[in-house]
Amino acid sequence: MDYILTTDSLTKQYKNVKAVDSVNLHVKKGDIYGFIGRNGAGKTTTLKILSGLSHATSGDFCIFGMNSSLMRSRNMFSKIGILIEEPGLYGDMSAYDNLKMKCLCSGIKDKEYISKLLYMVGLGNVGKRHTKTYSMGMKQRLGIAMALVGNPEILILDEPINGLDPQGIAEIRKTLLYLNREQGKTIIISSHILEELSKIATHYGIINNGRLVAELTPDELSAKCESRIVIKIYDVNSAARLLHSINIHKFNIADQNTIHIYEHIEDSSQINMALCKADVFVSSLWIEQAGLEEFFFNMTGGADNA
Amino acid sequence: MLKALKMDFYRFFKTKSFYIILAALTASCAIMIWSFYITSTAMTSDMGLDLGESFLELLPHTVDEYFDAFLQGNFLVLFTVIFAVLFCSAEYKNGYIKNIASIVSKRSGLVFSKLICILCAIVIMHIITVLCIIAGCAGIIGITEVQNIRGIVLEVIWGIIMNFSIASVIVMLFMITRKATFPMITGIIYVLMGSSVFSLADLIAEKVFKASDFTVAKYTNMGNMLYFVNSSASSETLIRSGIVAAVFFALSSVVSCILINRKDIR
Repeated sequence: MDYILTTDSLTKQYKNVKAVDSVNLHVKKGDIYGFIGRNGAGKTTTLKILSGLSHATSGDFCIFGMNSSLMRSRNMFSKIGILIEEPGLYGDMSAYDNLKMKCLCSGIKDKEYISKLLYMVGLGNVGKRHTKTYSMGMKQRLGIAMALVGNPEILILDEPINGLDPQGIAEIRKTLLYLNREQGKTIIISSHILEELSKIATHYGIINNGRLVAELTPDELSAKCESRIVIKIYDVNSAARLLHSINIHKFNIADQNTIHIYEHIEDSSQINMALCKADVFVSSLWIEQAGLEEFFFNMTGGADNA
Repeated sequence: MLKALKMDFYRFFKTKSFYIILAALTASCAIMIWSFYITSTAMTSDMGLDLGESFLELLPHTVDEYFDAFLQGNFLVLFTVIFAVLFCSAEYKNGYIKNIASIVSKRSGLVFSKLICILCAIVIMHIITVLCIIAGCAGIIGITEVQNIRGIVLEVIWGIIMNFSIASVIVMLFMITRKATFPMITGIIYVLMGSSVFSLADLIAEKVFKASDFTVAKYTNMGNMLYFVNSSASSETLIRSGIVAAVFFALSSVVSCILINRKDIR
């Protein structure tokens, strides 16, 4: 496999707590890798290690075919654009000045470079304004522009859509898809907004309590997110007995009015008819596919943790 | 390091705090000259203030004496401490460090670029002080006489060296704690209560090590700055204080570089 980034038992320990525990990530060139986990799962710590801001306690990672020591000695972290947590900006300076400083630090001298970046993220007209006057969405977009300085091959974005309104989220999504599809950038993105992530991610990694619990493609995820018949019913016990009598055993009682059936999906009308004939009143019945969110809850120990 | 230096210089000239500090420094010079002028006028006129002839002689009479008096007030070292903390802590406070820490080839460059900017600030502060004292003396009280030009030059040069050494220690304290409060408070207390601190240290040295003629202040950069470096300091004092400053600078720079390389960026 042509991986641009892999980790090998990456571990970060703070005193007695393992924030990241033997994580093995695999990211292919051109991926949009959705990194999913609840608060404190170890997402940010992992991303900080991968972006060179933190040191791993044990284990290592390989980016562009180089391990962490080689990455450091060859200054290859400059080929990784990062936006970790909220964007780090000088509030009493303009977006232009903030970008200018990073350009100076990166050795970029092109005078048009900053303007191009600002237009790319939709801040072309407000580049001279102090960033403390920016909305959250504008700051996030400027944070992405900061990450793009130096034309990095990999973008590591930690919760870039946190706190944004739907329009802001859509704008960030559009920008990320443009960067991935038009400029071929590999993007590792963590987010809590799972349904939003599912619109752009080409791979998923799910982390829980510091451990990577699953790594899968959208197709694998669809396969795991089984289709089911959802029946809203008044008497679940009678319905359960009837389902057993017609040889349907793969179902569960979700609550006192709901049954989920995971087999004979194509026979939903016959099931409905059978229930009606047995005088079990069905208020509604439909077929649905469990989403990423439900799968995530199952993988990380339930909705209470999310 | 050159790229980091360019970035820090860009910020240096854009940052408001430096200009505020320069304004405060200018105001301090003006207030000091004005207060001396008011005191001497009150004593020599019929306003009734009589503190004796000897007190009148203690008041500065020439430009270099005014400059000496200003430096003895420790304003410059106080402003140096404040600027060093503000300048170093800004990028950690707003998180900008995350944008740059991994793209510089060596993080030590970020320490040295800060120190060079602070050195420039110290040089500018000294130049502004000299100009303000000259202009203030000429403008407010009409004094233009300079008796000891060599003394002023030496005091400026050694003031820059000692302040820079103190700033490097402040940068180290910031690198240890990664918080602005601790180095700021420590620095200010050290400047304002230096005499008490050194008296206590001398007392401990005498009780514990039976060293009755030992003066701790001689072997610290702040101690030399507060007590020994002035326009009439001997060559021996200047050499000793220069060596002490260099040692403090070297040690604190090494510690700062080790810390910035080893500690995680949060």
